[in-house]
Amino acid sequence: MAKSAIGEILHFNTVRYSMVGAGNFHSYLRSSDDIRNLGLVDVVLQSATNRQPNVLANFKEQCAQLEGSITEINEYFIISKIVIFVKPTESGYPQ
Amino acid sequence: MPITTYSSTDLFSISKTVVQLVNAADIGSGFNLNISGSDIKANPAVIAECIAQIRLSAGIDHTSPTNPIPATARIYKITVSFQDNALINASSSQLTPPSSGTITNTAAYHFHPFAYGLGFASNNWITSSDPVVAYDHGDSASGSANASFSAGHIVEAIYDFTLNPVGAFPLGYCSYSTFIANFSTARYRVDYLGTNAGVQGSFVGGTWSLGVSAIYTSTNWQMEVVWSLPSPWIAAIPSPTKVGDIIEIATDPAVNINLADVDQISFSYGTKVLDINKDLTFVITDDGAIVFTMENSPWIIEWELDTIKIKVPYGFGDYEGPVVITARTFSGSYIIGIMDIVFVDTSGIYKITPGKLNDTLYNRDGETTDVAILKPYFRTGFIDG
Repeated sequence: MAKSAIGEILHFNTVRYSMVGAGNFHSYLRSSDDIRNLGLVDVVLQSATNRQPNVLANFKEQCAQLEGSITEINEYFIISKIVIFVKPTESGYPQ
Repeated sequence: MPITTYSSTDLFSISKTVVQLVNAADIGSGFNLNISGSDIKANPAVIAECIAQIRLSAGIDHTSPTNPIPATARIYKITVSFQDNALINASSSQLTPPSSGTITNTAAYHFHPFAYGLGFASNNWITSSDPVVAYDHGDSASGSANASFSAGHIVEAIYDFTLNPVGAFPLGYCSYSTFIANFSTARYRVDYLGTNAGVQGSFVGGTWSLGVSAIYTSTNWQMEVVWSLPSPWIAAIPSPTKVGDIIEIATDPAVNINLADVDQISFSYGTKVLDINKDLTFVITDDGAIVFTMENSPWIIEWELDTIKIKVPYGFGDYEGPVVITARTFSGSYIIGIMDIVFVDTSGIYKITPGKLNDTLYNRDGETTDVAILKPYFRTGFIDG
């Protein structure tokens, strides 16, 4: 997603995944240049599932990116959809 | 070869603070030496001497050690040290005055201890600290003079067998039984010397009495024995070890095991065992003869009567840590050493394979090891308003 010039301050509050796999899925929300980082609760991956887990977050930034990873041998993930719930809260930082 | 060092607390019970004197009477009362004026003229530095010989073993009990040295042990070095203390008295008195001239009547002593071995076939490997010489005196133109002095020092005797590591005692190592047999008769000698100096030529006649006595004690006995058990194996193992490193096994000349009797070298850790076998195989030649040859193992460099030289085989995977090396002969297995293997010297080409969930490292010798892919991850683009 291209970066917007609007620059409102957003509250990133939930990430919802549609994914399968094996192992533990680690995720982070990171600000520009990784100045601020928020580790989210791990998701236990399953090879098949009918549920799309919500992972709560509490991260206020003008923009953010989501990082997902696995760390152990023979872990894998297949993601078909990521939904990030965002709500604008302020128009900008104080001048 | 493993060397073990035991201190006196492992080997001996040391309870006495005064060691046994060989001739206690010499020390207890000292002795007097009567000399005449003419003797002084002829030998102005007349010496009254009392000597004690002390058995090193008298103050210690080595019969019930808490951690005994095996009878077959080789002793490389023995260090015996203790503190000795002496209260010394020296006196000089004029029995009859000289018919002419004067004499300085001096009571003095020299405290001169040294260590030596008695019972050992050779003494040249024994060293000791420098003798301590203490000196004091009183003097008198006539009558008597007395001097009293306390002195002491740390005595250390080192029995070093490492100068001649090969061969039998006394040229080489000392067995524990030999050590005990000789140690029980080894003695430590202390000398206390009283002197009287006359002024030669300035007097005639006269009779003098010169005496010296001492009370001797020793404390803080310490003993350290460095020893090892003879082993048929002398293994040169790189530290740390990695796959492909060369391990050389030789026999101790004193034991002289025929390494041709060894038919297998094993590397084991946990439940995993890797073997290198000296298997004989045979081929039948065109003329029907059977020729035995050694298996062309890539890990065997040399397997001779007195030397085995092998490479550490692959198969340890990514294990790092101690690995026990064992040799097998017809009479059993013997641990010949422990190597500390490290997980290095692997390489490979990175190849993307669909569905493969790990990386594979290829050892230079063909072994493969699966490892985790280094943190696969993704990041989304920036999300903003």
